[in-house]
Amino acid sequence: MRQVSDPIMPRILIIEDDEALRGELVELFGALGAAATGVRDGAGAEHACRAQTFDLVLCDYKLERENGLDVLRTLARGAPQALEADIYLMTGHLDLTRAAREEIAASTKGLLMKPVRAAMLRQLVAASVGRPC
Amino acid sequence: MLNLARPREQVTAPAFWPMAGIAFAAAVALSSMRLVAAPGFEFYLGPLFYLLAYRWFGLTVGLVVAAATMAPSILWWGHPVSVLLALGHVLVVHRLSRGQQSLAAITFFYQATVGVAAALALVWVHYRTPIEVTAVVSLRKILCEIMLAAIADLVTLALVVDPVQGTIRRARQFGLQRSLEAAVSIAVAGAATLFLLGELHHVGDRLAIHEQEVAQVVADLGRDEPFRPGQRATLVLPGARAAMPYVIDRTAAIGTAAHRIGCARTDTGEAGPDDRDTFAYWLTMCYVVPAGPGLSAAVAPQPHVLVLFGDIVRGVTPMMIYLLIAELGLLAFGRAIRRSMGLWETALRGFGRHETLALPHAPFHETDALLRAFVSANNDYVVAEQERQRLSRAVSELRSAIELKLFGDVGFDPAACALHFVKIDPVAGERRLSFPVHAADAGQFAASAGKHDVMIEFRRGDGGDDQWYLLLAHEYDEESGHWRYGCLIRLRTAKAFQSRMRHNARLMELGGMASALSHELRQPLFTISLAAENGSLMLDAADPAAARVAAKFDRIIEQVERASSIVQRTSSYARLERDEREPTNLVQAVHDAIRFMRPVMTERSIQLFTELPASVPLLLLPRIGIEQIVVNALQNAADSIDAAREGGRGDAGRVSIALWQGDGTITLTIADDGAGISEAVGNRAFDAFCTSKPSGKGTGLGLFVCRQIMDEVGGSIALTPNEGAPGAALTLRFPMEEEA
Repeated sequence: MRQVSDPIMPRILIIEDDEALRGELVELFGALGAAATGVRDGAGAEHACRAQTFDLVLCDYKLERENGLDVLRTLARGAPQALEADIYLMTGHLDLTRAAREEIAASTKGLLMKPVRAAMLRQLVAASVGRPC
Repeated sequence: MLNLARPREQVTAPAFWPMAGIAFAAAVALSSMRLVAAPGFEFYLGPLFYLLAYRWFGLTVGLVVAAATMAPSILWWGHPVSVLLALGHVLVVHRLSRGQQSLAAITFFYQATVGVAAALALVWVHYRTPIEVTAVVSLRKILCEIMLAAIADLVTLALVVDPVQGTIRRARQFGLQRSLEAAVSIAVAGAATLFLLGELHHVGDRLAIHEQEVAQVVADLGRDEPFRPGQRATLVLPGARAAMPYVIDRTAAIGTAAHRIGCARTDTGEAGPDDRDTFAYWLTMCYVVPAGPGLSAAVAPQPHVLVLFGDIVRGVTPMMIYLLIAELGLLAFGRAIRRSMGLWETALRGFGRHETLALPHAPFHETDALLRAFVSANNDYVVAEQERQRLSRAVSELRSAIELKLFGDVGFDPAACALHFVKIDPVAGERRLSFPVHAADAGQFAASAGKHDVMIEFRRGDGGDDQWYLLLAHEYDEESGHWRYGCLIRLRTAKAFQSRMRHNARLMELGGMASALSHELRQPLFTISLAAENGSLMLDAADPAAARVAAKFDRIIEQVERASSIVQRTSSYARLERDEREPTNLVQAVHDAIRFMRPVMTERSIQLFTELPASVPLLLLPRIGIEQIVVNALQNAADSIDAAREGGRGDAGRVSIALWQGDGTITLTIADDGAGISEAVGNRAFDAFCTSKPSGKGTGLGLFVCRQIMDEVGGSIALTPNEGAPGAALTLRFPMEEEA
């Protein structure tokens, strides 16, 4: 999974259990000139974050055995520096509990409603490195 | 209803205020009289009048009367100390009595402290009166005022004056504490007063005897050795403790000589303010006795008088201590009465409330036994009342489930659109009756003609078209076209209720479906749109053919947007009604759900046990959603019991529903003894499209929707296997912070 990245390229971590979607996201960020790493769960994310730092983390809220907030807790324990990146959760779920919404607001930069437009993803990348791409 | 009030005897004086004015003038006149009960025992009636005035007319009038009735003392004594003490007396009574304590008790403590301090300051320090005399004066004052206050207590207990109405009447009720305190005070203080009066009464006689003894001793001395004029010495009588100074002079000049040994007068018995009835007289006079030819002796008996007074004080002191103990005892008794009454008040106010009472013990055995009996009876009543309400609910539920009428010769008349039958009543005998049928249901009867056994569900015909009945009829008689026997069951679980519940269930399912689909569809829609974006990026912008492909990709992206907005709208629309919140009684919601599901339970021979409180606080909840959670849970329980029976457990068939109010939450559990849940299903039970039921029997959305609803109300839902028993329990917790 580990990719050799150009130090000036934006580095992006994608945590998504749907393989097709993960593949498309990695490909899109590659086309936008970023170095994207895709993993399927929290353990994969922790492993990736120990190997390198990321500018932007996109994480699906509802993963197979955990949710996005569980992943953030895993990272806080195993690779706390990863939390310095811009972190966004993605969901197709409209029915999050009030407690979950409050926790998301407190620990991430935002919650993205699927499907997310490519233009929006481009803006997030640009914002994470502070320059257009 | 008891009416405890009786007409009161009362006097409305036509001239109440003029009479009060006359009474006031009489009080002032009587107060200015110096009353002497015994030598040195003089008293004034002022305190009686100003205490009566205070009790009947209030503080202001009390103070005015105190000042007026005590004013004459300024003329006698030349100082206003008595007036100030009286004003202080009224103020202290006003501050402490609170309508319960007696005037006598407060007066005792006031006089024993403030009164004694004033007497000491004035009589002993200012006038230099010997301490024995000061003590007797103080005792006299304390006892007099307690007696007058106790009399005022008794009078005000017996007579009630209403200055607003201008009436005076005999009292029918007495304050327990006040009556007791007044009675004890008057008894104990009265005994002490009588003792003091008796002692003082004998002072005059004793001094007369003493004077004779002195005369005898002086005569004896003069016989032994004749006296000379101007001779001075002291005289000690045999067995006496005091030495008395005396002076000898010519009889004509003995008055002047007496002044030399401190006597202001000789004992000639003259009347006046300083006559034989005053202490001053006995302390400042000299006996004059013959001391030989032409000579007299003036003997000052003051040291002997002081010994007498000292003896009197010592005699009265034990009674005063007894009075103090009695007053302190009454204080404690008063507290005990107030505490007892407080407990009774709590008990009476709590009577018949929903909670049982728990009270500490009352101070008196007598009232405590009654209080215990009352509390026990009340608590038994509360428990019985709760049980009665529970039974009443059970009965009404049973009644609403079924109402059955039996009759014979049942026929349908198409012309009248009515059922005719003979009702067999054990009291009234046979009665022929008819029952209107809704025109829309008449066809069912026509279709049933000739059938041996029929079961027809129909509506009543005279406007009650949401009221459904079930006719069961048997043995069709071709000749008469009637059935021989039949029964009519009123379906209290009305069609309207059933259809509302079914509508709600469909609504829930639709909402759940829309919500689940929304989530499930958004994922592939996202992938499709990203794939299209990536495809578009792969195209070579310079290739003209690529422009057409790019347009196709853009169309895909645009259609994905459209699809996702449709998904969102459907989801929101489907949930609109389900999520509407209203003040909801959880007990009622559970009853409604049970009522809806009872036919299912009865049909499957499942026993339903409920443990529901009489009421719980109303909560702002989506009532439809909550009812459906319970319906869903009962349906799942019934299905799980079926599965257990199919698996060979024929004894399965119990569902228990319990609701209770805890600390900040209301908890509802629905437990069954069915097949239970496997660990794998337990973890995913609340996910969409997860079901353990055979295919075609469940959508897998029930618990998914239940969890959505509970999440939205801030509560929790959990499905757990029963501990040590087959089956599973669904537990719902509702927070009470959003009480309606």
